[in-house]
Amino acid sequence: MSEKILSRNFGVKDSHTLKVYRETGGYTALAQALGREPAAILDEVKKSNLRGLGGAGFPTGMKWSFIPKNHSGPVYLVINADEGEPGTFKDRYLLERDPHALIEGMIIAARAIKSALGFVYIRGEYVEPWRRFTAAVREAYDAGYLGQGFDIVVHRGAGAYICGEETGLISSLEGKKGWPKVKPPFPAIKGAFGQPTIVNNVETICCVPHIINRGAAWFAGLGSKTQGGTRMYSVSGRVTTPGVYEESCAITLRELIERAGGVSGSGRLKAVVPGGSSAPILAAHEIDVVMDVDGLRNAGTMAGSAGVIVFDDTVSIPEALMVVARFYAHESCGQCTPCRESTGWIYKMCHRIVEGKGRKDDLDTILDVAKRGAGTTICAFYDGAVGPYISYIEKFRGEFEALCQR
Amino acid sequence: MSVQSIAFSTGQLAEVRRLQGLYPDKRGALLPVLHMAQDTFGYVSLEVEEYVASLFGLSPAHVHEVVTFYTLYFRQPRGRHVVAVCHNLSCHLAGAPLILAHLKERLGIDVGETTDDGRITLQAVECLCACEAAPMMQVDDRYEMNLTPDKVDRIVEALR
Amino acid sequence: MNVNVAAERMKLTVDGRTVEVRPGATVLDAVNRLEIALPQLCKDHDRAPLGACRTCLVHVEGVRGVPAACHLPARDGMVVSTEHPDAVRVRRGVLDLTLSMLTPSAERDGFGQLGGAAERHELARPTWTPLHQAPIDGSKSFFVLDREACILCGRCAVACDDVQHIGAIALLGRGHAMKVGVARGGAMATSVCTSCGQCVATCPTGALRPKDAAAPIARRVETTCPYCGVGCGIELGVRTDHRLAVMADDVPVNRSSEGMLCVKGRFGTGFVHARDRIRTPRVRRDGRWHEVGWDEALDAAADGLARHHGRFGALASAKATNEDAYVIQKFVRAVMGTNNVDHCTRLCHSPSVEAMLVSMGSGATSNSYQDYEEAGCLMVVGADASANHPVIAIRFRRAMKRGAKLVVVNPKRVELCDQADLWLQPRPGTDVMLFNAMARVIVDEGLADADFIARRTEGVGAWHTSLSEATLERAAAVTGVSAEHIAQAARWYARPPVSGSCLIWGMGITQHTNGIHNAHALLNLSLVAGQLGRAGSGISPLRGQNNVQGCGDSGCIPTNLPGYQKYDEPTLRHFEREWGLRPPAMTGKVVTEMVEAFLSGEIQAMYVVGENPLLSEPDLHHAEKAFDQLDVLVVQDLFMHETAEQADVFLPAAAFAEKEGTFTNSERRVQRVRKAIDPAGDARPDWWITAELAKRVARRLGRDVSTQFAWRSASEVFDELARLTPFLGGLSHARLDREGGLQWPCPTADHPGTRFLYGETFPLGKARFIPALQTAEAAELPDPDFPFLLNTGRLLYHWHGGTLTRRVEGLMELAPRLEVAIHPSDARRLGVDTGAPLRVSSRRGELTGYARVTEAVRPGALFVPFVKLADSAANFLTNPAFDPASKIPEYKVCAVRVERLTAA
Repeated sequence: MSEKILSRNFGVKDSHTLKVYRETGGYTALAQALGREPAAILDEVKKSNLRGLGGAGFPTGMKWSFIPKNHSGPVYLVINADEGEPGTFKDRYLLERDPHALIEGMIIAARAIKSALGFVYIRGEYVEPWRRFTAAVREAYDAGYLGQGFDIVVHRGAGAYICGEETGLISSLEGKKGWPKVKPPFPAIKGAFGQPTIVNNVETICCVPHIINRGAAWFAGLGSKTQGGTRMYSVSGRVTTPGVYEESCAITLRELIERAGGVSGSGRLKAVVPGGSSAPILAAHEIDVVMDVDGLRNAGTMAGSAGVIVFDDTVSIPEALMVVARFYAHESCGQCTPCRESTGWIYKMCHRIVEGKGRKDDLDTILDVAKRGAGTTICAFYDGAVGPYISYIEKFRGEFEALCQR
Repeated sequence: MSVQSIAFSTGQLAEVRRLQGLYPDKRGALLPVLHMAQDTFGYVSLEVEEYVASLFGLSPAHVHEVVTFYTLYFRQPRGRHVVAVCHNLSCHLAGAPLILAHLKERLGIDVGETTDDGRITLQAVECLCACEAAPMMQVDDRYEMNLTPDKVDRIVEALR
Repeated sequence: MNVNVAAERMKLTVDGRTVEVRPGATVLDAVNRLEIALPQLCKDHDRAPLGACRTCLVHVEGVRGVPAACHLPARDGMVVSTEHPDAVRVRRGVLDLTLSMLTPSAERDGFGQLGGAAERHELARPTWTPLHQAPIDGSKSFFVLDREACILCGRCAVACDDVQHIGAIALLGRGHAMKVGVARGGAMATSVCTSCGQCVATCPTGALRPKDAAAPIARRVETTCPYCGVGCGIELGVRTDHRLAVMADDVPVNRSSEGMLCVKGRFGTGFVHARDRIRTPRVRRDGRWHEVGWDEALDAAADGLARHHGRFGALASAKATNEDAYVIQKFVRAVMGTNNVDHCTRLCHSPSVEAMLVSMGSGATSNSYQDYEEAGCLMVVGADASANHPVIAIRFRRAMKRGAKLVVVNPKRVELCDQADLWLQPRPGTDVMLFNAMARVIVDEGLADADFIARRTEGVGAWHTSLSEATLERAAAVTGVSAEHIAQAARWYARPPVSGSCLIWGMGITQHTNGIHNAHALLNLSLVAGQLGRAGSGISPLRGQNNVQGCGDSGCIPTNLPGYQKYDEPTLRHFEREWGLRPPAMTGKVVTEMVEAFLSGEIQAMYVVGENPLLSEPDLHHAEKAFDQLDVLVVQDLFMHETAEQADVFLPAAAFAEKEGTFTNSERRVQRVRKAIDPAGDARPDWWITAELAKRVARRLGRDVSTQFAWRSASEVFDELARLTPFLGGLSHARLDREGGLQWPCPTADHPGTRFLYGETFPLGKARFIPALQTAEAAELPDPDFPFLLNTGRLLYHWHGGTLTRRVEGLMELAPRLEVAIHPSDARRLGVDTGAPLRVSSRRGELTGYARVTEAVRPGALFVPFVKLADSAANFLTNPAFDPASKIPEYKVCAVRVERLTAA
């Protein structure tokens, strides 16, 4: 079991308060960072191999370095706390139990990218996390950590999964529908309110104080070769003790399931969704995979948001796909034709199949539509839907065919 | 609700201006102000949309477009309490369909409806990101976790 | 970035062919340059990519997947294929899904661009059936919204928001439940839609389509809109049956309109085909009209006019071309021996023009429309631009979007008030006090541009003394505007947050007995703040008619020769050399004076071209009596109207779409008018008719004009005008065809035209401060018998008196009857609701209309547009009292009473 870094205080009483945060070493990284040049902070983060922990896994330091050097106007730091990927709940824990880690990480990150204003976009349903975090921001202002060249605006979303996509989030932050934007320009060049913007996940930024305090080499050493640090795995579904598990990202899926008490239900594993519902499913024999970005990519799936959903062998895969397809049909923003139309149609067909009214050629039709639409849209949402459509059917085709008798 | 009653108090208007001032473009405050409007007026009626539009100098169609995009803005009067059951994957595996069926039967309403006494609006929603405690639901501001039919009964009972 | 690199061109290969594009171009630009047919349903060629339809998918060597070409930056050396099997397969799949959204039907006509794309991809029938059904929304008069033909590409919403800044339509909901709709989710007609048709023009599938049966378009002709003074470029569609299509297209390359149009420009050209167009010359004999040939009609007219040499007047048309105007004034001056020639500016902006001439030496708008967008503050006074100059209003909205402050000064709550940062609502007739008080704030708070005043102006001392009365307290008491608001407006105007300030005004300033004082007060404000003569600043009287600028430029004013040249000896001699006949040296009569001269017998013959004074003059009953006294009245127009009914000879003229020429718009841009169709019946271009008339009158008077009035084309007329008018000297039809519209002064063939005036100097040398006095608020104010104050103005859907727009069915449907705007408190007292019939009467006449209860007017005030609908016209009520200096009638204020009519 690896050292607890981000979750070290989760069990501590009143861990969300400034008092406890300080008592456990909080804001010491900030003091250090204030003595360093922005470029030095950026360099440290680059060397730490920190990668985005919201889903895409993009190297954080590199993302920061995309801010134009000669830009004279404002630069914004936006925190994506619009957690919504099915099977993922780690940011909720961080917001509720260690909000000051995020604040401290933001102040340091802002120094690195020369931003004076940060936004924290919290999903609208997260009322308690929003209250906790807002209270922490107030404490940080009172203590003088904020308001000294860096301000934080806490923003509440209003119910739309797509706002977790970084440009959808920016649209929403601007008071519009959460429609993702065409790229280029990328947010680092022209983001929120038309200014260079860095959008980072909560967990990603919570890592930053530790990198500053204990060094890039230490952080890089915690993880795999290409990804530094630990990761907060959200484990749910048919496991004995679902919850958040902070582990090295060099852990295998098999080990992770064991940490969560092993498979519950029948006790026999059928499949695992390894990185939130958008990650292609893995069959029981594929779980020796390493849970970092590259390991999962090589296994034909993705690390995504590290939301692990375990299926025992009593779970109906077609029914699970119907639930997933309903989600994507409900959450498609409607902007791009292939996504809007396909998600609608595929849900209808999945529903039909589960009701026993499927036709034999339905499966090929779904696969054909899914494959043709992949990679054609403005954002990655539809690719995220295509992952389960294809992998569920291709890996468990027999189960579907048994339902399609016409 | 009569048309005349749709107006923020002086204090609320000051809060609107404060929120608008937090963003580089005041339109950024649209979602927060719509939340405020919903809390104040009960739901976001067409009249509320127009009122909010006027506070932002936006065309009502733009506010309508935003309100109809998000799920948390109620465009019809809602019950005094909103019970939103997660029906996404982890909750589904943990028995969300049973919880929903139980609630429907107990309240005598379908998903999307409000009890005759105006007490409860029932919803089925996508992942609320508390999968470790599936099945779960949101009751107004609170997450209620690890549900069983008995626990659901106790929770609903306590709603007035 | 290195400049050389930026200027470099990139070379790409598309489908094996090489193409060069500029940096910043997309792959789609490269594809389109080669005219390769690639579907691009959501891409408007002059807007940024939306990326929504995902049909412009291509294969690019070394790039994973099939990216959308519309937002893929082109790079040097890229190898692109639109025919790669992967791209075609995936694109066909997307087109299949797109086609699946639509329900075919007879009237849907192949779904426009989508139909073509599907055909090319051999997609006869889609795999899926549409998820949604929706009835057609036919609530708008010119077009329908048919959601079963909609692919949700979003182009209409962008046209409505980003092009027009109206915000009527939006994409509501999300995912596959999304639909195009308006606020409240109701019918289109319930929204703020202004029927501008920008959405219809951009719709790729015909989901938004004109209501008229689609007829094949034979050709398209780019010309200039015939309505207001903005001068938008329009492209007329000429159908195979030689009629104009109901919908005109916009012209993105037009520098004045940049692809924007309003409802009148887009849909209002149908009057050309009106059934009651007069197609044959007519002569009145024995009290009846007789249709005759041109010779007979022209001879009859010439006989009559020749009898009244020197006792003659002409009213030229600000709707006709510069060429038409030039020929009229030449006829009046050279042949008829008088300077009695005028046009409608008398009734709109003569105080502005007079004041600007006195103060600066030129009567034109100093800035360009572009300057509105670059300004930091726009002060819009007595103008309802959203209704009367809609495309200018869009420029204002664009400026505001960029952060400019908008200050609106208007007693009526016009649409702009709702968007303004500050709205001042002065009591009518108190404008001088208001602007003088602003000027005092500017001086007292040290916001004056001392350097500008010192170097560029004179008379500041006497003017400053004249402000002594105009304290904030007194101004607040007189105008009813709070001192705080007056001061704020002054501060924003003098020191805008960025750039300069533009001062824009309309007839709310001019149509008063103290109109010229109002105009001077405004001009002084611009001088003290130094807000003119540079980018983002300027002074703009918004002109009402398409060619009111050009009609004056061409010499149809009694005070000056073409180009505002004076009647001094060298100039007269110069004209005599050119014309063979010497123009008279005495200032002629303005139109309001001419009407009075009918009564005295000083004028006995009148030539009225493209005007209807018996609708537009104040106190129409009085004007009718005056016209009765004329011996000879010759009217030249498209339609038989109130004035024409009194005429002896009617000469049918060609409409704007039936002739060649030029219009000059409010920003001094001379633009081409082109012939799209043949004139109706025997109608002829105005310049030709006037020239023929001139030759015949000259012959009867024994004057030799053998070398004159001999033009073979409008282009030759323009060349003569340009030769005699220094500021047009560099222009010709050929050059305008080549380069598009150009702004005068443009003195030489290599001069690029002038964006703004007064950059270095004023025509007078230095500009003059002219003290402006607050006189009586109006000549006629409410009293117990006539307790309401009547304000007149215009409507979006009708143009001026309505002679043209009443003949466009769809516009009539949008505004079918005369509405009397009345404040709710007054309406309550009278016991009327919106729609109730009302009678409004003044000391001079009465009209009937229908109540429109609105807070747009103040309590005690009424507003009636001056369009004539169902035989009721506001000018039966208005007061002919006029401004002594500019002679403009006081249309904006008179006293009336209003009563409820029991429904018949």
